[in-house]
Amino acid sequence: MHNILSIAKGVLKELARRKDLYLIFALLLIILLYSASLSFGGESNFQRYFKEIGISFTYIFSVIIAITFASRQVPQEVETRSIYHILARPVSRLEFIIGKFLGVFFVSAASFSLFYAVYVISLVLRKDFSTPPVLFVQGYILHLFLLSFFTSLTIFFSLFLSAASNAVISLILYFGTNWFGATFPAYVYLPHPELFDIRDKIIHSWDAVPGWAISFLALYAAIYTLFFLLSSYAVFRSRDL
Amino acid sequence: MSAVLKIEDLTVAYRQGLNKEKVAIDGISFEIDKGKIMGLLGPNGAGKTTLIKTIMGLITAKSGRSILFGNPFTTAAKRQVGYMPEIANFYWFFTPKEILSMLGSLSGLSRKDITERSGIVLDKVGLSGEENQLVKSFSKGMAERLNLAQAILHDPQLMILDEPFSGLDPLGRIHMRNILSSLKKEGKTILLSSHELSEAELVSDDICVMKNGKLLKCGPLAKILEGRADRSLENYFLQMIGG
Repeated sequence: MHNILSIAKGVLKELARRKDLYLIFALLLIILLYSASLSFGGESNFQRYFKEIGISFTYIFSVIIAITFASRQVPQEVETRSIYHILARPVSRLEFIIGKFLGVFFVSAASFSLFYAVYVISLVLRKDFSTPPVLFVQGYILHLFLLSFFTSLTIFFSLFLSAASNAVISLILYFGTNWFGATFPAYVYLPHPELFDIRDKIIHSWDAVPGWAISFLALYAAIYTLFFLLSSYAVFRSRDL
Repeated sequence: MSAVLKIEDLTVAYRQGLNKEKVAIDGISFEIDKGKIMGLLGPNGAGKTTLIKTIMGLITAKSGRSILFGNPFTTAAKRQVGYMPEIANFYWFFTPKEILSMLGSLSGLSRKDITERSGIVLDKVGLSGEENQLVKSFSKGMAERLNLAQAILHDPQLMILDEPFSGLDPLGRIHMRNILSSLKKEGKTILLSSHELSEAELVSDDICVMKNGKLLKCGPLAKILEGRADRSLENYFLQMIGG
């Protein structure tokens, strides 16, 4: 565990020093502020519109962070050969993969938490209390599950694809299944990120998700995360560097 | 004298196409005794780096094995080994202090030991006072010195250095030579690869000459040069590789 956390800490530190994260955060802030300044279609319509825009960008931006950062972790280390310094130490390749996963997951989860807090605070400032707080909590938890399994999936793809093509394919998978649902090619066989998306419930203040469904989704995400991490290790363990 | 590292019949082959294989390392065996510096010599493409990477577990061997202090060279055994890769690439957004802290932690050093050893090794490689600069501002020579610092950080008994003189200016080479001599005086064992014959000759006790993945000759440098009228490693090397 010590090695895994050291590697994860390295990822956190590196990503925190890059400008990408701050640019995305600034962009989200601009979008939220701009949306908040608009007013049309009556107050209730506008509130719904603001809720939708805000949460959509919060979800999308955190997924973009998870995918773009996860897609370049392993290929970048191998390409620059900085991986040699790590694997020349008593560190197994499984620890390396899990450390990278945890690092990216922490970064994307922390960014999402920040985005989500800004979003919820902006709703409070607009005096919009129409959505039950439990839905916000559920939306937050479910999206963390999604970030976990999408990070592991992107790390798995990164063992075969370049960072750019991996990011594109992972994003297509996310948006494709989310937007096109069952009409998306091979839908049945793909992981389903849309199951974790309760945007409509939050926007329209519908009923909360039952506890059993949350438990099922936690298990679903855990199984997928584990599957992709172990598959990554199976591919990476005997790869010549 | 006891062998620190023993390589037994190591073979590495790469797949080429569907049914073809290219043998990169062909049944190599040798051993290094404690406190010795062994120079692995050979022209470009001889297989020196492949051999070193295989010993370090970065490349999977088709057959053969590496034995460290009488035990199989496992992941856990890497605690006793310091490795300096040929190309010094680090996380460019880190400072030397942060890099050594992370790598020291991965080597199993305590926080106190990391602080203490970082100071010692940075001083040894001449990077004292630079520990808080971002590595991206480093020259190639400074990066190479940091590369050596991380290899000796955890005070390993065996050091495996891939082309340690490569890319260094004359002053840097002298400095590197002095560091290697001082490590030898501390009783450390060193395996280094080089195509810089003059440098290897100055620091090595034993040499191994490689060509096309095969070991042509291995033995004490003094003994190898003993019977030669010119006593020139360069001429011996040229004769061995058929240059």
